[in-house]
Amino acid sequence: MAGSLERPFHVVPKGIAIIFGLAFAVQIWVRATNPLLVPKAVDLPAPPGSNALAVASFGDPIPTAKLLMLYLQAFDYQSGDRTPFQALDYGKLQAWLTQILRLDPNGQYPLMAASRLYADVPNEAKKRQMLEFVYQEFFRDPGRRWPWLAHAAAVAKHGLKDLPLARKYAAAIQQNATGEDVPLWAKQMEIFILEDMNELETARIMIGGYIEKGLIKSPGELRTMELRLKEIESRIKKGK
Amino acid sequence: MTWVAIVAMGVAFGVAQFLSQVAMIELAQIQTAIMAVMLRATGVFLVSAFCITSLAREANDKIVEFFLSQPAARSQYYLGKITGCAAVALALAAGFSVPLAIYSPISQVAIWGGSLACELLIVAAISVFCAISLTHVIAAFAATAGFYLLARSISAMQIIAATPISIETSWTDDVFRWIVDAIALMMPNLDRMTLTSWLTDQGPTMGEISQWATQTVVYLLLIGAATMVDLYRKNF
Repeated sequence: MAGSLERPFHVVPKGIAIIFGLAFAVQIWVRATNPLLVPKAVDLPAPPGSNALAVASFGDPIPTAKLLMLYLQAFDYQSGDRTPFQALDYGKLQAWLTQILRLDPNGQYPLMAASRLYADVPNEAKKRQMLEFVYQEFFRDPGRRWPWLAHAAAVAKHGLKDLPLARKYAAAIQQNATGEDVPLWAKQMEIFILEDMNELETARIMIGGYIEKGLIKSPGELRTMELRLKEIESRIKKGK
Repeated sequence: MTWVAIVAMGVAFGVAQFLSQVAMIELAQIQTAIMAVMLRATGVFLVSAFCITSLAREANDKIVEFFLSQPAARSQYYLGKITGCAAVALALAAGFSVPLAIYSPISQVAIWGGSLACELLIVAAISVFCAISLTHVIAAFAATAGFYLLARSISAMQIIAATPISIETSWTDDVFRWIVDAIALMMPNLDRMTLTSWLTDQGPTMGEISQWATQTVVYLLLIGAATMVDLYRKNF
């Protein structure tokens, strides 16, 4: 086949083909029998300082933040089983999450991981530490970070059975996350928690205030809140 | 290239000395770590640059065609080339280990240097393979660099691929994990070779040494055979 770039396979000496096949098989065997070294929770070091990270970012901190988050996530994570996270040093973990947020303030991953992964451990002190971290960081960008505080409120209510704490988080959302895109359920979480706390009078005043100030725009949502108000008022009357 | 290697050693030594002036503790460890990482990276760059440019020059000057027109097998041409490149890799590994002996015990430096030699031999083999297969300098250099970075980071990729963030994993997670695992099977274990901790803390165990020695031999045979398959099939 004149002009062709490659000659047929049979021109390759058999010995070379055999060496190739054998070496390929041994390479697969070598790698397959070499277990992957998954980092354990106890190995988590303290995060690098802000200056070191700034230098390592070469002026572009976003990719560094994304890679660091994936690196952090790999510590002692076993798919489908979150219990191992509790072996992590939560002081160091929080320092990592803080550094990653400083590198990429618009990134949602660190707070999502804090509220949904690291707060989901059977250790109350560690759970509370992560919820408090989410709460503190929420104030830096309420318009963007409210979903994670809303989840923190749910964890406080259902996981910790700490209704005052849940109310504190819900109130923070109601007072600070005032953007148009924040859904009504998030803004009104506090009312539902107040109902659970049996503080019906406060809940009634809050709903009444919403309706009176015209904060509820959707007719459907308005109807729902009016029904809710009536229900609370009837519960108050029964209570009296 | 000798001058570049000497200048690289001087620069690495100078940078290590400068940074150690800033540090308050662990001076020797800082100097060792900085020198080691700079020399390893320089070694990889010099070996690949040497192998690729020398083969590209021979191809452009029609020296390959001239050689293959002689009564000699193509395997002899390859063995000659890889022997030359391997000699450069070994010389660089030996030369770059010497200044590290100032800060670390000689036995640990010797093991680190042996591992660097193995790493550079693999880089030399890959560079020759890319240069013969791709024939263009930039393409060959990019492919070699990509291969080296992938080999050094594939374990981290495997860990990341094995740790999806959601509890319910979908079939795409499984497929992605399989693909990364399959790629890892083809790559040499470079992330377990030439570790700086062997200089600053403890050296590797005998098991680790035999692991990277075996990996080097197997990979040199694999890439060598692949290069020869490509060389025999080429129509000059």
